[in-house]
Amino acid sequence: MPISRDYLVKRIVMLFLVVFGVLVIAFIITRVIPARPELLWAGPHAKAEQIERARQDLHLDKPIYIQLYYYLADFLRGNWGVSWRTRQPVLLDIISCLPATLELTITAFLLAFVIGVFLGLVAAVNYNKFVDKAISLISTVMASTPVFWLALILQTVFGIWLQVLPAGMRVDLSLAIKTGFKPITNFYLLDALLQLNMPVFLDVLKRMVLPVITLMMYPLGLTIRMTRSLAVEALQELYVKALEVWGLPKKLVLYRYVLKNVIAPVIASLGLSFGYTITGALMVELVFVYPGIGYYIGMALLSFDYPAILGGIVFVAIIYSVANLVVDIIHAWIDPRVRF
Amino acid sequence: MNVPVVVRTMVSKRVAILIGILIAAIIIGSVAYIYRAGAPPTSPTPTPSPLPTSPAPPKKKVVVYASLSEMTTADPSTEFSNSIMWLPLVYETLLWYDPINNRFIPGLAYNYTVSSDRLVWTFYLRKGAVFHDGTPVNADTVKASLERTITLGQGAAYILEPVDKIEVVDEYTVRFYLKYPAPLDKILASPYGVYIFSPMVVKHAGAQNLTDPKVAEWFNKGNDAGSGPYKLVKWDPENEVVLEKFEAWWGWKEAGYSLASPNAPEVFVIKIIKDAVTQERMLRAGQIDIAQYVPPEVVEEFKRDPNYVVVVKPSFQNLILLFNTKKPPLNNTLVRKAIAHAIPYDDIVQAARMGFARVASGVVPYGMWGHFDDLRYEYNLTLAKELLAKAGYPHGIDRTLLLVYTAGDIYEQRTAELISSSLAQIGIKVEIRPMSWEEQWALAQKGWEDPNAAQDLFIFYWWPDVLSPVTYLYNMFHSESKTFNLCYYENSEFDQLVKEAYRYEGIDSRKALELYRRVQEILYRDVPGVGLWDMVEYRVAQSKIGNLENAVNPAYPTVIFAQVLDVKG
Repeated sequence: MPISRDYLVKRIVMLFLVVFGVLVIAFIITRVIPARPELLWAGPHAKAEQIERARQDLHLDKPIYIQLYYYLADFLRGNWGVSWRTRQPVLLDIISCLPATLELTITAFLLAFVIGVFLGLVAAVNYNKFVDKAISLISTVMASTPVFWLALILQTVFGIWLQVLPAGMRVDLSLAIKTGFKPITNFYLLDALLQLNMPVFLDVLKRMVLPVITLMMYPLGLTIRMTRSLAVEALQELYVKALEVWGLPKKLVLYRYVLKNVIAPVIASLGLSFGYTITGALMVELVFVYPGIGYYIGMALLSFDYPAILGGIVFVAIIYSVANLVVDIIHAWIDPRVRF
Repeated sequence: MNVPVVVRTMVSKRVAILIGILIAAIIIGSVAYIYRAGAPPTSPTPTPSPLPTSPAPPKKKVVVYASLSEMTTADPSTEFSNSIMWLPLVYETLLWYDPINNRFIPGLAYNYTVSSDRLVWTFYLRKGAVFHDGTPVNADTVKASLERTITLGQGAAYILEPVDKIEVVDEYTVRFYLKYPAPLDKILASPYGVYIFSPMVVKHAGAQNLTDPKVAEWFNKGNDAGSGPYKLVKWDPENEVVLEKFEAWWGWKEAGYSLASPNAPEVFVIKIIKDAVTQERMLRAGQIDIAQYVPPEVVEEFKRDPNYVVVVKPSFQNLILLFNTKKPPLNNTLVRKAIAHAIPYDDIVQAARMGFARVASGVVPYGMWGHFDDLRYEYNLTLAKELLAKAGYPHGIDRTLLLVYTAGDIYEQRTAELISSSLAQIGIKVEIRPMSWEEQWALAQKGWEDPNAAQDLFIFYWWPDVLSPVTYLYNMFHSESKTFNLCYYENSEFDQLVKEAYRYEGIDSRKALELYRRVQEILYRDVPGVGLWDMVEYRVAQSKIGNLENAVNPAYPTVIFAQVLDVKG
């Protein structure tokens, strides 16, 4: 076991502390903004007594620490409050949005990882040649392109001008209705497969192309650059020269020995870029009308829906912390030199 | 470097990947489980059709309408917000109102009579109307539905305040006794609170009676009990609401009924897209059929493009400027009048709304009964300066006035900027401050206790809850209306006349109109507030959407009456 139990326990305690801290800060920020949430709750043209009732229902007539206490107590029981816009439990909302985001981010990350490592190695092998320079340039551009801009450009070119790919939404609604598509897990790709509904499967896949490309750009650029510089370094190491002298095929050296030294730090840095990708998902989902977590939080922000904003923030904090922990564990498993 | 080490790390790498996959599977699995546990039990029925294609789907006309706001609740008795967008398609009222021609369109009632004292109204219901669950619509269901609204007392229930008693005369006749004369036909054509639904909801919801909270819960889970042309089949209030044609609706068969079309969509989807630019992009990409709202800058472009249709209609939403009539210098009527004459109304309409508005004449919007077209203040800076001098400010005002508007609303912002720059020319400095609506309103509320602590100028929208001028005149200017009378105007003569006018609306509309004229003249004289512009609404759709013109009715804002659409192809 490369990871000690003490370390794991410490990390998990830290995780709870981080989430708790985020929760308290986010809660306080939403409460000190001089807004009148009861007006939103009571609805437009509400009468004074309806507003007063809303104030009491939302505990807004109590001091902030009592409000925080109510929120925390409910939060721990799995009651993350009720969205002020939709009157649905926030947790249920978030969970039903999650699959859409996971579908996008997991696909984007896997693709970024595979393509990135491959291109990185290609660049390293051709160190300082034209191919290397081209790949390096492209990866720099990729890592520094703003997500919202790229999303709009891709949408305009492929979705509106050329109309070769759908400009947005998760599935063609009329197709879904005609073929009787019913979401079960809310992972539409999976659902379509389970129902053997090929038209919907292909449609969902087609609609994922542009958002996935957009989301993929940053982790892809990052992976290429990381892989390239690590591999260039590794290729100069004596053990590589030795292996070559022994007459091992170049490909074997590259994919079995160099790759192994490169891959662990790459995974670690990819994991750290997960947080960035979640923020990116917010804008990508807004542009492509893709109803995931990012879309949900965006909508909540646009309408001052505090329970939903809070729930969204805390949820992202949890995902981010858990992802980092998982990455560290995987890192330790893969790289025997890493010991916690 | 020796071989065994390599083998060991290879193994641990595989183990790591395996664990990664396992974790992913657990997350996916648990999410799926929780989601299914929380969602209504839609049993996964994988179609047993042979691979790889599903059976040829029946051709259905689907129309997707993009909504700018998410849906709220689904209870027809209490809903008082965005869900009005689909409620009139799923539920019916006794009458519908066409405000532009000031006439009624029959709904569940085909006719009605009024006693000479205007206190007893008798409605005759059509035979053959059924609810989606098969129960026939009759006088008992009408009485039960409206009584639920009254008993619950939420949402727009107050519009039924004049109703004293509802009596079932026979199966298809229902009679209303009023406490005082009121325009009951208009009230029963309201977009809120007067929908008729099946009394079977009690059984469906497993409730004790209609007012049991279980009934509201049942509605809010996305169930419907209406009799309208569409059934609610999918309720995902943040993303989409799907309506499907109700074949047994009486209106499809009624010859010459103006609210039905033979080519109406079989499926009508309300897709929530909260951003105007995104709506525009989705429309251009062919992903939606009708946009509730695209930026006004691009409407001209759509008008010229034969692939789209654009419908422009007056709306009853207007932008109003309220003065703080209790705080110097605006407690002086002459100063208020000077400002009213220094606002460049025409420029505002052009610059702020690209012409998609009409310069307001009074606070009752154009197109509504009770609107008068001669209550505008002329834009005249010389006159404004004279008035200001007469008020004792020949060199302008030494204090900077505070104008507040709702942050994020670009039309309010542009309007505020133009007002501010124009007032600067007569020596009045104005600070414009965007605030969230909640903050803006909270600040204005302080004015009732301490006018000096509140803003000087307040900009906001009003839209009707009752289709009568009274909603504008009472809410913003009557001294009892502390919630929205944010000019702190108190005038007992005005107060009395407004109430009288509304009462006469039920008895004698000529007399009522006369009274509404008088109260608006009082406002014109006292200038507690100024109507800036009446919004002109537009909808943009793909050209295959025919008869869009008649699917839009300003009395039911945001609604597209899908049943009248003529969908080509």
